[in-house]
Amino acid sequence: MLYLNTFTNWIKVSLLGALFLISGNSFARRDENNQFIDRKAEELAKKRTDLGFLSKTIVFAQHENWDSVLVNTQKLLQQVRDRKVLDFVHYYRGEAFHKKGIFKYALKEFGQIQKTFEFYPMVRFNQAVIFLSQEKYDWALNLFKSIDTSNQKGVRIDALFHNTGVCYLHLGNYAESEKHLLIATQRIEERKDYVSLISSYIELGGVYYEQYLDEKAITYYEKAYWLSKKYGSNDLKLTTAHNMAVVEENRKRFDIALAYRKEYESWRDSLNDQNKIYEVAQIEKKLAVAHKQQRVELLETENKLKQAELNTYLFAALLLMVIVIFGTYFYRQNVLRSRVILHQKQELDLLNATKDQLFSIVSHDLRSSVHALSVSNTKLKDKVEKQEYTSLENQLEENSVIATNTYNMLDNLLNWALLQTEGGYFRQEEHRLSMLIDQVAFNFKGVLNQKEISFENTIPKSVKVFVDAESLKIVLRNFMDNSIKFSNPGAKISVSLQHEDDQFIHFEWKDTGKGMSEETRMKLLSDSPQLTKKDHEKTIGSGLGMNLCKAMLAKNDGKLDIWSRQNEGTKMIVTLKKCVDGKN
Amino acid sequence: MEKIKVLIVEDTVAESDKLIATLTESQFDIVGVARSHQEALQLFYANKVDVVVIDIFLNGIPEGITFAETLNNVPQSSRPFVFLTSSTDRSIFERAKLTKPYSFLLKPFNPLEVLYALEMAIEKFYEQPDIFQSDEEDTVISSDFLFIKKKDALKKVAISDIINIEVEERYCSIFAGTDKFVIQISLTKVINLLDPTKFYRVHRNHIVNAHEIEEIQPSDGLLVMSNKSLIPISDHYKEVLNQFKIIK
Repeated sequence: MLYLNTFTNWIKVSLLGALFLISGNSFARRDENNQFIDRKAEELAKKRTDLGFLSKTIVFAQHENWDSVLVNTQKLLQQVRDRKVLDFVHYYRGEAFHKKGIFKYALKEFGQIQKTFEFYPMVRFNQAVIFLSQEKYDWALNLFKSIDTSNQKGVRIDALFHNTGVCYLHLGNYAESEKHLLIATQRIEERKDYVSLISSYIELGGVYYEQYLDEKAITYYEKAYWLSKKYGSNDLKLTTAHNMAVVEENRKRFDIALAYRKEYESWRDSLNDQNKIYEVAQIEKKLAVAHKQQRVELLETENKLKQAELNTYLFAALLLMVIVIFGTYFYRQNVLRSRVILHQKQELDLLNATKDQLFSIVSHDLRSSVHALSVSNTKLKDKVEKQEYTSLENQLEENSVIATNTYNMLDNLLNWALLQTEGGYFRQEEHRLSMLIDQVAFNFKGVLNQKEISFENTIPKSVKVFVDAESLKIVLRNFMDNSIKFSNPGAKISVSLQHEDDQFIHFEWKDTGKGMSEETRMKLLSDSPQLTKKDHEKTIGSGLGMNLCKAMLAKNDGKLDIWSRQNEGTKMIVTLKKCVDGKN
Repeated sequence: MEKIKVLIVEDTVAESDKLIATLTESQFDIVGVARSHQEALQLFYANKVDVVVIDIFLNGIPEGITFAETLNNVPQSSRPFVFLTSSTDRSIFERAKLTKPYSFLLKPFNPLEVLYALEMAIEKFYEQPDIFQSDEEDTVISSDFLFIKKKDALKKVAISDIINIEVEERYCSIFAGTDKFVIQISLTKVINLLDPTKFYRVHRNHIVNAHEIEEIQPSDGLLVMSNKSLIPISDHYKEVLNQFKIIK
């Protein structure tokens, strides 16, 4: 029994906690208690133009936006000096602190209100409610008692009675508690305020339960339970279900108790769920915010990165451009260089080919010449041995011709080599053309006589040319050589001045020899250093001579042209510079 | 008229023989053939040489150039010279050129070329270019000689031998000793090139060697020269006589 008693006591204590909570909340609801104050304050605000903040405060208070109320009233405190208005301000501040649960400040604000304040009962009521919340039941009761109920503005009688009843309940004065609560319940029933009624029923149930009047208590609890089923909030449903479970348990009706407890638990779970959901929502919100923040940061970072990337791209583009420009430049240079190299290569190839050809021809000719000389010498020896002196002279003549030709070829070869390597001495001076021709012709006197070829130089002594004497002599020697080579006995070689102009002397070297084909002529005159094949296989020659002539004349700023007709003769037409400055 | 004296500096006997033959044929007087630098110097100073033919390569080294340099470095004994070479190799020529070569003779040579080279050397040395080959003139004048080209041969006349010169248009008759020869040269050139302290122009057409004047006959306006020829003095040139101390 004792055990059971303590157990019940424990339940009662827990019940009371729940009861108290409900009483605090349900009878402090605003619109019902404070409409008078609000109305009065609005009137005041309308009258006074400087109280803009007050009307704002009222609006915020009606919407229970307590933080804004505090802010506005703070401003009002600084502005307003009127005691009457200040009472309102302090009231609203007190209410705001109260609702925010900062009781200390709330009491302070309320304490600053004058006793003459129109709604002073409301102030007291609020103070009492705060004390009630702080479980200072004696003080609360005193205050509740001191409220003048005759003043109908503000304090609701039912709430006053209810709260007084609650005070008595906590102070253990059940009779007074019951009396007040019954009156409150009656009033509430009259007003058909079901939500408040549930609270009242619970309190009444509590009163009876404390006095171990379980039957009565249960009646009220059940009333509360059923009402709450219809009108109550989740909290109330929870409390009523819990109460029912406790009382049914006490009545040993465990199955019903269990049902109630289950209901209670389901409500609690749903509440918890709600809380959880709310928490989860909060967390999600936080997460979302964090996520957003992260996104923002990410975007910022991305932006930075993009900027950096853009800069990098710009830099890269610039670099690329520079590289491209330089590349193009060097590529062009390279192309140019390679073109030059290619050109040079082609030239070199051609020259090489020419040289190869030259050597093959020369070696062949040289060998045949020397061989002919050697054969001729053998014959000479034979004849000397056989003492055939009559034909000796002819043989000797033959020998000397071969030797001369070979020498000429060698000379040409040497000069060609010097020309190719630019190693020859070359100095242009003023010379008398006629003189140079005579000097060259002097060496051929014998041959000319032998072959019965007449030679005539009709160039006036006064004609002067600006040439390198040795190179011009090479040219003239070759002319002479060719003319003699391709002329039959009785032919005529003549050198004559064609004409002269301001800068140039034009003269022709004419023979009445075999002449040459147009093809050969073109070959001889072509710019290519390719050597011409011989037209006349019998006669020794490599085409080197003509090439040499062209090159030598070109070096002397001169020109060579050939006129030729087969079996009529050939004309070598030479153009030479007069002298350095064109003067005679 | 005397032959022109040539010194040959050539180590190869065959070459020098050929050169001697050619030069002799062209009426040159060979004063000697030097085989080396040393010999060349000896011969050069021992004889009165008018022109030197130098082979660039003596015994395989371009000693000829060294000798030419020596000739150039002694102003009084400096003489025209001709480089003889068988190569037109540029490097050798470039070096030879530094010695102010007056002419080159390339082997093998013929008499025409030899003559031409020697003429060129003399022309260039006395800075009277393009004389011997021209139709207009045929004489180069040095401080001691007149180098005259006569019928494809080069001769010389000592200036100190000249008694008087008679100018007739483009020709000048030179009287030296008992000889008389005609050269082609402009009068102005003669006057400019002959020593003015020795030769006086006494007439539009006459130049006389002051040392060869034997007698002055102012009344007749005549000069009696050492060869007894009479040279007229024109009024225009009379003041030259003031330079003589006339004993009355």
